[in-house]
Amino acid sequence: MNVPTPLKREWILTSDAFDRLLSAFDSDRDTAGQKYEILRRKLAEFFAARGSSAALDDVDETINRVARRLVEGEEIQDINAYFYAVARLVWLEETRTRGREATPLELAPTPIAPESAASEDQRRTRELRLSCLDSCLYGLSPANRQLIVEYYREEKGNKIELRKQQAARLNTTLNGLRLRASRIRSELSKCVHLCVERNQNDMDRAI
Amino acid sequence: MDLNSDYEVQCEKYLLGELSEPDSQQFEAAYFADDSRFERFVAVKEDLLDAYARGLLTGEKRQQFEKRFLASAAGRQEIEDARQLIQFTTAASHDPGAQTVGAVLPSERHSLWSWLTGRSVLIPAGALATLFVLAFVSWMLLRNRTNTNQKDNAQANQGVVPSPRKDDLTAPRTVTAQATPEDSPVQRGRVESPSSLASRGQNTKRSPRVNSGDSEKLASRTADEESVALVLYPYTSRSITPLPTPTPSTNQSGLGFSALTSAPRLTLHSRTQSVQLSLIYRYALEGPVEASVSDMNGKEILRRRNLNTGQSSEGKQSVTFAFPTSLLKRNDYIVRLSTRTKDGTPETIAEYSLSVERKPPPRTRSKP
Repeated sequence: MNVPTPLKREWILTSDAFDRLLSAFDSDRDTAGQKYEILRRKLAEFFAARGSSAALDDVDETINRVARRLVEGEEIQDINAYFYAVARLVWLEETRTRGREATPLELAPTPIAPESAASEDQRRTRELRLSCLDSCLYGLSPANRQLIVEYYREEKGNKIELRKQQAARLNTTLNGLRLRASRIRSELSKCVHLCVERNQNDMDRAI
Repeated sequence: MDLNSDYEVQCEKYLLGELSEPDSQQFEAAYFADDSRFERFVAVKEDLLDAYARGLLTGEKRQQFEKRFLASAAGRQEIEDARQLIQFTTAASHDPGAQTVGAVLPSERHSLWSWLTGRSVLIPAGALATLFVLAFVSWMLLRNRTNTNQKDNAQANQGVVPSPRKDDLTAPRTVTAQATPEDSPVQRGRVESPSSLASRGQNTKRSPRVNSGDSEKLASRTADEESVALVLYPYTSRSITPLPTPTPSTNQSGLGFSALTSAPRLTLHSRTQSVQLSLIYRYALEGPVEASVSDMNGKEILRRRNLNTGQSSEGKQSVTFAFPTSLLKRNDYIVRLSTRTKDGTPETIAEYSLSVERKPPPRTRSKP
């Protein structure tokens, strides 16, 4: 596989380039969109696990590079593998740019979590997130709400054993229950994100 | 954490930085190639965050976890999210108002029946009386709602924004009309912040949860009615020159397909005949106001001129217009609000995005 050489961060993703990128995932646009979303998340997890300090920027850079190659006519057989290869390249470049050796995961230095005083904006955002979480939680269907409430609530006893009992009641395995909770949680996160964004715009207009 | 498969064990080791570099690369390549593996990986990560938030990680495992997650703002936010989820689900499990009336969950049916039959005769009778009263009240509300919406639809067809009644929780305020699938949370149009709730004398610990079920009912009901109303907020502020064709930004999942992360979604059923859009804007408008709706190829499907400006139900400046749903296909649309300067030059005030989903008509059974 020909991995693209390092490119400067100047190329902008146009509508046409984005269309070509989506079509590389699937001919059906909706399906392609869903696969694209999952791919973005995979990239975000990769860069986070690798200790990137600007994971979202690195995700965008990776996507831009792949899209550019497609626009330039490159034939990509395995889009996911190609994305992974480009992501690794971006990560390696970033670590070199920051003046340190590419650090394998097992040797990453211990980070120092900075203490930061909560600003008024942060406090307001946090309040908004809490409101949105509350609202989105109760927007779930009763069955989903019941599942996630029981899965995550604080209660006496060994949590793992309690989850095993919950899984048994739902006629599934612990892994199956974990996956179901994760999927519901993912929907919850999307709902919270949209709610925060929408209400943040409201609050900004009101200021 | 209890990990009962090799892959889940590997997931945890990867997250804690315990895999060698070659093994890490192999692990990453595997989840890039396989979505189901990635899904399992995310589930393990969430359980790890949950365990840390509960204080269940200790010793070296705790140190490794903190090395990975405390190093970035995103990681710290994930920990905070995990704590909040525990807090809210714990509160929800103790809240007797959390259950929707009538929605007795399978796990609770047995206990509810036991409770009813294990008491004296008076208690089952009292429960029946309560159910009767609730049924009567629901019927009265439904009857009232039907009369109200008939009146509102008549007003909407005349281009008048129906004013909500304070006691009518189902009035079409800022709700995205969308039939909600069983396993998806409702796309909430608006949530009150605790401070604004407090100023209105409401319970600050809960956002208007009573509206949650009503909004669900409203969302699924209005999408099936003949007319549907939607309030849109701009994603761009005022611009002097018309904006170019929107390009995918780094903050969006992309334009042009229904997986937009921030575009309001409008689900239309076969019975829905008209759409009423209310466009919220910020700046005062001086010239004549126009609104146009274009698809993602830039083709204009609708233009309304000389629109009246008014106020939305939240007291915000808005422009409202209605049009037949036959103009909308299953697509994404850009709505533009514009005016004209004194010399007649068009000026875009704001732009809005909209994602339309169409539900097929229900199948009718053929007679044998």
